[in-house]
Amino acid sequence: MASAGSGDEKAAAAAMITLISSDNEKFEVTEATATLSQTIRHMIEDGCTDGGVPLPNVTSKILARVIEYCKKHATAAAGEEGSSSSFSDAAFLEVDRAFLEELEEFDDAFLEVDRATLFDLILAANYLDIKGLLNLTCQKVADSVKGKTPEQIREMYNIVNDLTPEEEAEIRRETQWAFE
Amino acid sequence: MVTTARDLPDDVLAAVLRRLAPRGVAASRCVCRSWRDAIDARRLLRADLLPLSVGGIFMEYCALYSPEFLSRPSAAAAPISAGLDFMPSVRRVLSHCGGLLLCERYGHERYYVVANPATRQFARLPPPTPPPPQPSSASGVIVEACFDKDAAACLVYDPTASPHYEVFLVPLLRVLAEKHEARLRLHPHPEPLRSEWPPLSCTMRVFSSATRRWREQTFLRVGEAAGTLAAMEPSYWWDMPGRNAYWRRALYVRCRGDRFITRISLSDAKYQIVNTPRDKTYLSFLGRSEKGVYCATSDGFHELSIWHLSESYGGQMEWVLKHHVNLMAFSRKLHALEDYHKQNRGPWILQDINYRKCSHKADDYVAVEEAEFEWDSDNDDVLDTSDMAEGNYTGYTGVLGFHPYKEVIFLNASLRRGVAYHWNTSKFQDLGNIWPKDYAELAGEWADLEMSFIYTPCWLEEFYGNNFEDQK
Repeated sequence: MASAGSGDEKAAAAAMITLISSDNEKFEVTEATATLSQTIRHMIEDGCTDGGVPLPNVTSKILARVIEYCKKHATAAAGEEGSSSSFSDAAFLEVDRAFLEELEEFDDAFLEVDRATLFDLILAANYLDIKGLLNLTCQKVADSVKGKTPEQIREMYNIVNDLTPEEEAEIRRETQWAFE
Repeated sequence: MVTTARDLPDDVLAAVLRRLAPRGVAASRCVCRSWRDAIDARRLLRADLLPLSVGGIFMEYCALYSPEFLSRPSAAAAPISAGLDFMPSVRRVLSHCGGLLLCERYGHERYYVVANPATRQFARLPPPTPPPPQPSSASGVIVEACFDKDAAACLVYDPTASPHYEVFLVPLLRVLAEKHEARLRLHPHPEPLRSEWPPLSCTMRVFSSATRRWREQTFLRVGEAAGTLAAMEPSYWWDMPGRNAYWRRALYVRCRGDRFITRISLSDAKYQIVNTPRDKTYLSFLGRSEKGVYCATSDGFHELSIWHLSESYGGQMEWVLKHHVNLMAFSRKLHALEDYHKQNRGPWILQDINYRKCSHKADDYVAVEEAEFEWDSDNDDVLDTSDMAEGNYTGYTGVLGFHPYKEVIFLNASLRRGVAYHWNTSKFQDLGNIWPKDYAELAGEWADLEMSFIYTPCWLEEFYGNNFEDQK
């Protein structure tokens, strides 16, 4: 972390990390981008990132999306650090607000994916321990479930109902207030 | 391979489900075994914290400063701070919904407070924007002179669906008798009085804890108006705010005394007039119960009718008579009970908040022993009326409120004793004394209930708005 943002050419080059997807594609990212993942941050701290970081659980397609998210949010994090020293400056606050709005727009556009991709992103965010991305994607799924009946949820997500009729009746009885 | 919901590990699934409101969690619990187990293993559904059971009855008495609270003391449950001593003193409780109270504070400054007496949290709302001009009042001072306009403040809160609450200020028309007569003398046919009430569109002020501010929302009337302004007869008693009900995203507000209620649909911003059942009786209570919205009509003494508002999908509203009873014989039996007049004779206990707030009297107040169990709304303290002797008593039977989840109505016998009445089985449960200590001395001939409602405590800690007053 100390070398990131030092402005020194050599240090910045040294701070590049190589991520290797399950299908052996290599992605070069800055350390600032990679360390949004707590999993990778720990690996860097343990000094075991030489020769690249293999991510056997993440395909290149998903990893590319995850990196896109991390790049955007790493810039945002850097921007926040920069502005914190000048919090009283109205111009900076204005810039911050515009930036936050832009970030929100980015997140909304980022979530415009099919369900399978969304679940893959959740799994990747969980595995890589990227809190912001996990929050974002989990909320998206939760929003899709909101206001739906159990039947609609099953249909939407292709879930087979393995509850016996008795069990289901029991659940409905216990929480009758939710099915009015 | 396509990734599906099944591939989500338990803790990730739980991370998704814990973002849902209780209603969504309950529906998810019914989806499949792994979803049910993920929810149960982490206790993601805490129905015990939701306002799903009756915790007591709040009552506003004429001439008493604080509301009173009648409940069955329970060692198991934490006490309800019904005295509202955790917040700036309030004068009146206006509305109750889902365990939250909407209170009004007045003094040199008048404002609204939303409070949770279970968790002792409260929020002072920013001052409402000035009332918007209503179409029917635009045409002149004559209307203003004859009719007093005010708003009924109604709280909407359903924590099973959202942690946020809303406050609606519904315009009311108050026709004052003396002004009405003056109007007839001076203006036999004033033009504005021919306009319809309520108008085709009505703008209400709405506060939302999500946005932390007031907004104006216009509701369109569907169906007939109640009549012209001129036809609105004077009402000798004021419209009583607080007698409203909330059910399935619709607010039911009692307007114009007992003439009609207004049903306000929050989902599509429409409203309509529903006439109250008309016979020789008057509307004594409006509330929600097991199957929707109910009202009770009474002849003022012992005749009681209970009606259910049957709503078809086409928007047709019809009152269906569910029960009619004359409670004269019962109230005579109740009056003849040995314990009838005794203070603090349970099983439910009136907290006597007003009496205890007088410091010089508080010392001789005898605390009540707590019962071991919560009130069983089906079986506790059932009165065996066949064994009871009738006394010679003439009083009246009033309504305290509807049980929000069961077909039970809470009654008051001449302001002396509360009972729960299961109208489907004609079963009575004895509650207890509701006459505040020394009330006769304080109120004299003014002794009466201003309002009462059945309170369902909400124990959720999530509460929005501890610093609304800082918002401008």
